[in-house]
Amino acid sequence: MDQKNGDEPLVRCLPEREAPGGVRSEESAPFSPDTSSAGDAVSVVVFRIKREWFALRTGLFYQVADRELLHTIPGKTDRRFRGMVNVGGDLHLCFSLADILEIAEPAGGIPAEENRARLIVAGDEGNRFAFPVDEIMGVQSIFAAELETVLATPAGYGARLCSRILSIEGKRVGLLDGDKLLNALAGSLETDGNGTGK
Amino acid sequence: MGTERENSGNTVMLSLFREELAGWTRMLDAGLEEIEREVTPERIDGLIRTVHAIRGASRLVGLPVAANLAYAMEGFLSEAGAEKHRLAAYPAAPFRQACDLFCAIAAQEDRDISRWLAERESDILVISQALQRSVREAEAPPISEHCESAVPKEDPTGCAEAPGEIEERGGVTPAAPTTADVSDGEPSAGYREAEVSRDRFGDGDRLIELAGECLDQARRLRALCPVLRASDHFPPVPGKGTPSPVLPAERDREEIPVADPVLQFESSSKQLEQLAERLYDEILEIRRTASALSPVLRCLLVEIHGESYALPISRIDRVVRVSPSDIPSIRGRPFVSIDGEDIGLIDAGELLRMPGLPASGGDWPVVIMRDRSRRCGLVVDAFRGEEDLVPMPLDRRLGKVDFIRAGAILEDGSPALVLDMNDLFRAIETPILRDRSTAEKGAPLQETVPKS
Repeated sequence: MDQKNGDEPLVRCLPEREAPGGVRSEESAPFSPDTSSAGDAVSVVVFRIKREWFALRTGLFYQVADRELLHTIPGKTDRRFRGMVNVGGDLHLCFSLADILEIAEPAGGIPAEENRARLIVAGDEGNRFAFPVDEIMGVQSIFAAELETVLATPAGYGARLCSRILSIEGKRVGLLDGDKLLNALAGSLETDGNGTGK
Repeated sequence: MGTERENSGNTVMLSLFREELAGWTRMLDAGLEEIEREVTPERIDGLIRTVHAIRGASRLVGLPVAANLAYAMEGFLSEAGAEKHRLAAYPAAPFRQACDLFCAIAAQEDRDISRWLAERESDILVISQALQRSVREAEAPPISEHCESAVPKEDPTGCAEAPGEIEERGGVTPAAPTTADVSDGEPSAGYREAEVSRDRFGDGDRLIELAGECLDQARRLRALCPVLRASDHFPPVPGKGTPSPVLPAERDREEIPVADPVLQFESSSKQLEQLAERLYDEILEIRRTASALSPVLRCLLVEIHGESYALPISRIDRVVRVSPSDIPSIRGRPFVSIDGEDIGLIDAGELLRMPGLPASGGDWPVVIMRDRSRRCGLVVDAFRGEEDLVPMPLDRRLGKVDFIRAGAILEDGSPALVLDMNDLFRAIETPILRDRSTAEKGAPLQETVPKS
C-alpha cells in the first residue's frame, strides 16, 4: 500500500489508494465488448432460464430475491409482461425473460432438483424490472478476449439481445446487452395485454 | 312604506316555510315509522337530511328557537347514524315531541308563528336538552340482531370469505356469523374496525353531501325570485331602477336598497348560492387533497380471479350475498333490489377484461358501491376482509390502467391493486361497456397467467 504518512489513520488513506486494475473502467464506463481491451475484466451475473444460460452486467443488478407472489395488471398482462411483484416493500414490474427471449420449453421439462428459482430485480433507477430465473450461477469476471460473436446460440429472439457468447464452466453463456434488453422490456409494455400492439 | 314591504316579504317567506315544513314533518313521521320497524343507516341519513333542511329554513326565516331545536334533533340522529349507539335504545319521547312541535308550527298562521314560538321557548329548550341528554347519557346498548356492518369482518387468515352486512330481502341472504357475533352484546374487533373506518372516511362524504344540499337549497331559493317579483305583495318601487340580476356579490350588497325586500331577497339568495357553490367546490378540493395526502386507506379486500383487489371503504354502501336464482334482469342486465331500489350488477372479471371463470354454485358476493345518489353492485369472487393499505402509484411505464387507482402491499406481503371507484362508476354507466359485458358472457376460457 502506498501510504504517504505513516501516522495517518488507515481510513484516511483508503480513498487515495490506487484502485485495482480494471475496477475503475468497469465503474466509469458502461460495458461494451467492442471497446473493451483484453485486459479489462468485467463483472457479470450468470443465470439460467430454462436450459439457456445468460449473463448480465453486475452493475445492472439491484436485488435477488426468492420467487414472490405475482399480481397481474388488468389490460396489461400478457405472456411477456406478467404483472407486478413486491420485492423488499417495493412494487416492481415483472417480465418473463423466457418469453421475451423466446426460449422454448425443454422437452420433458426441467427436473425438480434443477429448479433453484429466484427473482432478479435489475435496471437503472426509475427503470427497474423484475424477472424470474431458474438458477443463478453467481458473479463472474470475464474478459473481452473470452467473448465470441453470436452465431446461432442462444436461439430465437435471444440472439438479438445477446451481444456475445462466452464459455463459463463448460456452459455456453449468452451475454445480454443491457440497453437492448431494457428496450425490449419497454416494447413489451406497449401491447394491449393480449400481446398485440396498441 | 319600507317596513310594510319587509313585513310582507317575511309573510311570504313564512308562508313558504310553513308549506315546506308541513312536507318535512310528514317525511319525519314516515321516517320514524320506518325506523321503528328497522334501524338502517340510510333511514337515519334520510331523517338527518330532513331535519337539516328544517334547521336551515328556520334560520332563513328568522326563527332561531326552531333552528336550535332542529339542531338538537340533528345531533341526536347523528349519534344514532354513527352507530355508536342505536336509535332504539334512546328514549324516543323527546324526538317525537320535537316532531309534533314542528307540526304545530306548520299549522300556525304566518303572523302568529314568532309569538307562538316565543311563548313556548322554555318548553322547546327542555325538549332540546332532553335530546342532548339522551345522547350523552345513553350507554352503548347491545347491538341488535339487525345490526349492519358496511364491511365484512376481517378474517385473520385472509383466505376465508368474510361475512358482510347482509340483508335478507329478495335474493339477498344473510351470512350467519354476523348475527351470532353481535348477539353477545359486545361488538367484535372486526366490527369495531369497520365502525372506525366509517367514522374516519365517512366524514368527508358527509360534508360533501351537506354542501351539495346547501347548494340545492340555495338554488331553490333563487328560483323563488321571479315568483316573489310577480307577487301582488310587491308592487314596483317608484323611482327605483331594476338592478342587474347578475351583479358581483359585493356590489349587490352595497347597491341594493335595504327597504326593498324583494331585491334584498334576490341579492341575498344569489350570494347564498355563490357561497354554497364555493363551499361545495372547496370541500371537494379538500377531500381530494386529503385523499391524495392520506398515507393510509381503509379498504375492503375482495378476490377477483384469484387475486386481491381493494376497494376504499368510504365508497362502499354494503356487501351482500345474492342468490343467482333470485336475480332478475332488465334488458339482459342483472340487478338486485335493495331498500326498494333496483341496483344494477356487473361482474368484476368482465369489467376488468379478465377471462371468464366457471360460475361457482353458491351465492354471488356483491359489493354495493355508492357515489352520491347512485349505487351499483360489483360481483366479485369472494370477500377477503378489510385492511389499512398504503396506496402506491403504479409504475409510470404502465401508463393509465383502466379501473386501477394504485397498487398496494397487503399485510402478508402479497401485492394488491386498489380499484378506482370513479372509473368503475363511469364504466358501469357506459352502454358500450355494458353491452360488451353482456356479449362476452359465456365466452370461452382464455389463457390465464399463473402465479409464480
